[in-house]
Amino acid sequence: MIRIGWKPTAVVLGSALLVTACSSSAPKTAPVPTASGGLVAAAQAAASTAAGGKRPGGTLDLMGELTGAQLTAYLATLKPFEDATGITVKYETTADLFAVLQTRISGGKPPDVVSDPSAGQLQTLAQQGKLTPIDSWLNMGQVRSQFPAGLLNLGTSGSHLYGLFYNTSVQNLVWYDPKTYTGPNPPTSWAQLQTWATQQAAAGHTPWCVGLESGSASGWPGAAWIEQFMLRQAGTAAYDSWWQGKLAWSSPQVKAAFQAFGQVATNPRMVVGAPTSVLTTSFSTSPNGLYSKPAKCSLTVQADWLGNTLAQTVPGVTPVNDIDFFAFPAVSSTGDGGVIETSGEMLATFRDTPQTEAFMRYLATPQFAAMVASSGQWLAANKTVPATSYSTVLEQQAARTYDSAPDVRYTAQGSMPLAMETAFFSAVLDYVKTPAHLDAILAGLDRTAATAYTK
Amino acid sequence: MTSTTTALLAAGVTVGVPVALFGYLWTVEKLLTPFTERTRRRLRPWAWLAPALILIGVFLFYPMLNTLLLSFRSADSGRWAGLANFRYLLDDAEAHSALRNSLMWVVLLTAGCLLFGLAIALLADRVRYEVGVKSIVVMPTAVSFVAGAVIWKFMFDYQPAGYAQTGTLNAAWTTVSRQPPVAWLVDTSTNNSALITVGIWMTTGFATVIISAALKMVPAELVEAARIDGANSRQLLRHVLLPQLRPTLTVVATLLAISAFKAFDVVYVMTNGNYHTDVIANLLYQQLFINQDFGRASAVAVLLTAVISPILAINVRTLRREGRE
Repeated sequence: MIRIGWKPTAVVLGSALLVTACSSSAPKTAPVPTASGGLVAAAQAAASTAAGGKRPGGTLDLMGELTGAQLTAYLATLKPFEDATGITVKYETTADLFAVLQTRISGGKPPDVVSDPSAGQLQTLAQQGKLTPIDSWLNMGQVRSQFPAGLLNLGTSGSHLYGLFYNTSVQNLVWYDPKTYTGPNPPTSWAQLQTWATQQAAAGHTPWCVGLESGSASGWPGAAWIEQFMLRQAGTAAYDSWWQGKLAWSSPQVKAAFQAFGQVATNPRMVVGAPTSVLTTSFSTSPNGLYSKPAKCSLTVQADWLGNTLAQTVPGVTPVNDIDFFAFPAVSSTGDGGVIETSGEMLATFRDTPQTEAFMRYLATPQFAAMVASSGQWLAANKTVPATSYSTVLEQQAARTYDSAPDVRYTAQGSMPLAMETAFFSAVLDYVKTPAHLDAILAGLDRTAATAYTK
Repeated sequence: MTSTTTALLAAGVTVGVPVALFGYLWTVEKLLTPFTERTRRRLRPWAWLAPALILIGVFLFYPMLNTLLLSFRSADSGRWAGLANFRYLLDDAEAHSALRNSLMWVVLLTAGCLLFGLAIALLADRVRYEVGVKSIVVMPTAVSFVAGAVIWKFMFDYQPAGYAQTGTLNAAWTTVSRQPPVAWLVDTSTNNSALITVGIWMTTGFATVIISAALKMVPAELVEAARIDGANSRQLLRHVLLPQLRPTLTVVATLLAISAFKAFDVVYVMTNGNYHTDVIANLLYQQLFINQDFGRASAVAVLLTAVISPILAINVRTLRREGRE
C-alpha cells in the first residue's frame, strides 16, 4: 500500500512524466540536494557511543518500503553507524510492508528492526507484546525533551517506549503561488481564507486544487484534510479518541469535518470540475494546476515536501518566488489552532541484541537527526536539529513550523488499524462522489470500526 | 550469492537430482523384494508416485482442507464461528456487490474474448499477413496485468470539460460526440465495463492463438466438400467450422471463465474496488491482508473454489472426450 512516506517519490515520478511529455527543450529545474559534510564524523562518534564504545559487528535486518532515491538517502544516514560499529545494516524493501511483516511475525521470523510508515500497526504490535521495549536502553529524560510528546505517545504502550520516529513530514500546509494568490498572508482564520476564496469563485477563478487519486490508496489526501479539520474544529482530545475508535464517526465533530472538506472538494466553483475531477485527478499532478495556463487554482493543501518537489520537477518554478506556504489556519475556538499533523516512519525492534540496542540508541541521537536533516528528503523527528541545517529555504520554514508547534499529532489515518484506514479512504471518495449520502457513509464507518478495533 | 557458488549449486542439482531419483527407485525395489511378484506389481506404481503424492498432499490438499476448516472459525481462528462467515457472504452489501461484479466479469470477459478471438482467428486465416495480425493481438498477453492497467489508466484519463483531454478515449469521445467527457473509472454506469475491457484487451490474444490453432486442424477436405456442395461462408461457419471448433471453444471458455473469477490486478490498480467495482478476489485480499479476518477470507476462498470446480469439471470432461475421439 502506498503511504505518506512514499509520496514524494510518486510526485517526482508523476511530475517528471508530465514534464517529459510537455516540454521538448531541457527543463530548467532546481537540483536535488545532496547530503552532509562534517556531520558524518559527529554521527560516527555518536554511533560509537551508542554501541558502548565497542564494535559489535554482525548484521541487522531492517525492513521497510523505501526505494530509489529515498532509499539511497535513508541508507546514507545509517552509514556512519555501520562504519563506527562494524554492524552491517541489511535493508529489505517490500511494497506490501503490512502484509509481509504480519506474515513474518506469524512465521516466527520477524526482521530485527522495522521502519514502518503505519505507526498504527506498530502500536497494535506493541499492545500484542511483539515488540521489544527500548526505554531501558535510552536516556528517557533526554528523549522526552527532544521528541514531541504526541509522537512519543504513539510509540508507547503501557509504561514502555517501543518505537522512535526516524523522520517527520508536516502535513496540510497551505501552498500558494505568490504570483496569483492575493489573499490574506497568513490568514488569521479559515473563515478569512474562505472569504477570499469565495470572492475569487464569484469572479470565475476557482481558488483550490484538490486531487484524491492515488492508486490503491486513493482518498488519502481528502482524509488528511478531514483530519486537519478534526484538529482545528474539534481539538486534540476529540482527535485522539476519534482515531482510537472511541469517538463515533457519526458524531457531530466528525460529520462537521467531512462537511468542511466537502465545501471545498464538492463545489465546482471552488475546484475546477468538482466533484468528478477531484476523484480522477492524481494527488501528484493536481498541484500543477497552479501553473497551468490559465491557472486552475491559487491554493492547494499538501505536506512540506511539495514545494521542493515542484521546484525540482516543474520548469521555471523556484521556491518562495513561485511556491510558498503558510500553516493551516485556525478554524474554530473549540479546536486547537497551532497543533500540527505529521507523518513519518517509526522504527521498532523485535529483538534484544547488542546490534538492535546500539541501533535504537543511535536513532535517538541529535547527531543522527542532523544526518536526516541534511538528506534533503525529510525533516528530522528530533526537534534539536537547528532549522538552518536544512538545505532549502522551504524546508527551513517547515522545520520552524514543526519546532514551534505547541504539540504534534501523527496522521489519524496512519494511526488507525489498517482496516479502518482503508475504509476511511473509500468513504472519502464516496462522500465526494455523493455528498448527500454522508450520514449513511458515516454509519458504514461505524460498522467497520466495530470489528476493526477488536484485534 | 557469488557466481561460483551459483555454478556449484547448479552442478549439484544437475547431478544430484538424477542420483537421488535412482537411489529412491533402487531403495523401493529393495524394500519390495520380500513380496510376491503380484503384490510387487500392485505396490510399485504407488511407491513411485509417493513423493509426488506427498508433495501434493502437503502443498495442495492440506492447505485446502485447512482453508475449509478456517472458514468455520472466527476472524483470528481462535474459536468456532459456525456459519457466520458464510452468512456474511449472503448478507453483506459489499460482498453482494463483489459477487455481482465477478459474475459480470465472467459473462463479459468470456463472451468478449471468445467473440474477438474467433473473429480474429477466422478473418486472419484468410489473409497473407496472418502472422502479423496475430502477433499484434497476442502482444498484450506479454504485458503484466499491472502494467496493462497502468497503460489503460492513461487511456481512461479524465479532464474537466473545457480543458484539453489527455486521455485517448475522452479525446476521441469529446471530438466525435461534442458531449462532455466521461469519467470512465468513476461513473458507475461505465466503470465495470471499462475494467473488463482492459481484461479483454489483455486476454483476447490467448483465445485467438488457441482458436486459430484449432481452425488449422479442421480437415481441408471437409471445407472443400462443403464448398462443392454449395455452402456459402455463413453456412460453412455454422455447420462445419463451429461444430469442429466446439471442444476447443468449450475449453477456452472455461479457462476464460476461471481467469475472470480470479480477476484482481486490473481492479486493484485502477479503482481498488472503489465506486462499486470490487470483485471476489479483491474481497479476499481485503479480508485477508487488510482486515486480517481469516474466517471471512477463507469463506470467500471456499466460495471461489466451489464456483470454479464445476467449470473445471466441464473442462476436464471436454479434454477427455477430445482425447478419446
